[in-house]
Amino acid sequence: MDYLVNDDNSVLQRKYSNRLKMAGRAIIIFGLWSSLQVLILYFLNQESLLTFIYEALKEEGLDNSFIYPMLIVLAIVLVGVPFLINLYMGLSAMGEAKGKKKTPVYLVICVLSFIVSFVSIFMSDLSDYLELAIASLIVNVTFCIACIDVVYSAIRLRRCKKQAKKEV
Amino acid sequence: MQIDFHYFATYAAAYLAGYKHEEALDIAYSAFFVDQCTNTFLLKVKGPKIAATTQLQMELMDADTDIIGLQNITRIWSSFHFLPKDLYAKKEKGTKRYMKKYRLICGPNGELVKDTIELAKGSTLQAIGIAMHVLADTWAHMYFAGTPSLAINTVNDHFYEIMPDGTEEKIVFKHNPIAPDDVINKKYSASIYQSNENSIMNLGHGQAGHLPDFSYCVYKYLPAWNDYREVVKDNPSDYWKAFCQMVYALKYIRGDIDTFELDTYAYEDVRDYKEEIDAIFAVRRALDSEGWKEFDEKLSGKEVPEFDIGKYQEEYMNSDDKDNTFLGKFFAHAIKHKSMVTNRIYESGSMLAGYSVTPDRSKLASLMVKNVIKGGNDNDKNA
Repeated sequence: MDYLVNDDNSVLQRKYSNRLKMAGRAIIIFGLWSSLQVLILYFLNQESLLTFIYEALKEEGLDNSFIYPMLIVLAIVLVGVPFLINLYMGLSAMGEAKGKKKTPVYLVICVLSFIVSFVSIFMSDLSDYLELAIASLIVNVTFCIACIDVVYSAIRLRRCKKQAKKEV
Repeated sequence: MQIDFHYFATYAAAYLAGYKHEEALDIAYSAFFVDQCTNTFLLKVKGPKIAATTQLQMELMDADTDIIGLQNITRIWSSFHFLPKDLYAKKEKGTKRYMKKYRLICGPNGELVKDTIELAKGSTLQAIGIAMHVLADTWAHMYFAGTPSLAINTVNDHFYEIMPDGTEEKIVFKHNPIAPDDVINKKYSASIYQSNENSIMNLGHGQAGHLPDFSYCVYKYLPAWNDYREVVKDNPSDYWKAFCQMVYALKYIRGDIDTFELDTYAYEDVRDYKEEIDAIFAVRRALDSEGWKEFDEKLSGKEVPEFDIGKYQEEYMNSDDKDNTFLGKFFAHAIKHKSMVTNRIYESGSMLAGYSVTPDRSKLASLMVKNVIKGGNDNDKNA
């Protein structure tokens, strides 16, 4: 009895599932990096969005007891949201690689993330904290490649599965 | 393979090929001793370090993975446990570096198997035992390479055991190096994933655990080198072929057959015992020593003792003529065999097993080294 399943379609499905899984993992790790980047910038005392908002609210005459909770919520949003978006994209990619049915929403978010990252490559400021800027540049480029890989592999995988259904 | 096949099954093969009981014991002892002759053992008996035919887990943990260390590891494992099938194999896509490792993939009926048998012919019983170990392992360890390589030896979660009724059950490996495999409940352990290409965890069939060594097991998986194509490893069938090929090889070495041909098996000589041997393979257990021992003793009518690693130690350590002791003969042929395989790998254009000098050039090489040393000494004197 022949247990091997090595027709071209099955081989391609395995290939793109594997690529989708790896790219999904990469996106989750990049999400961690985005959050880490915000924290690093804050602790390096660079003029951050939080500092700007704090000064603006202080000028308005608001009390610290009101400003601080707002800033904490804002910090959580700045650190948490990029990570959560990447986590969603990555887990959806890995889920699709495992054979679970997924809506194309994560692919759309992937495309948008790619556009944002691609644009931010050209907006990198290398003047302050050169090492961090270069590291961010490299990470952004790699993140773009991971996004492309997710979209490409997902589309190819879906096509292969559709083809397999037709043949059956 | 494990002691059940290397010791007990090799005894049976030697007996069926026409060797006497004592000769078959020596061949079987030597065959399994290949899995025992570590650097640690050699240090203990004050044997030559170069004769090591295997490495303990602890030795591997301590081993360097620089170029020299990797070459040493590759020399041992490729020579004795993962004999390369085709050192000139071609593949559609692959860098030079990748292809060198790809060509070390083990498999049965390669040219090196023939060279191994030819080298043992006309030699000692110990040499024959070593050859039988190497031959048997080409069947058990096929599809893996005897060099640390993530790109060749790694597997992924696409791993299924094929049960006797034809169903497939997914295998999920655990990574507990201490706990033995629970074959009844299908709980298997394997090396932990390591992303470093040259990590020791990526040596041989570590990523597939002990499955290649279980004679009952039929499984399929995706080897890293096979471009997402599955392979099936049918151990009962492969072990049967290994056994029959051993009988054939032993008959050739004895002189009963004129030439040794690859892909040839002594089915006729073993036909009467097929049912019994199949029954041994069919039992779902980690080791078949009990079954094989029973078979051996029924075959020869004599007792086949348990393997004793210390059996020949005193003889070797206390002898003035070490080369003519049991272990001395084993070491001599182990060095010869390792040298032969290393040379073949080197001649194929790969440095993965290091430099190799053929016997006809070794004198010249020795002379050159002596001249270099003499030149250095003369410089020191003049200075």
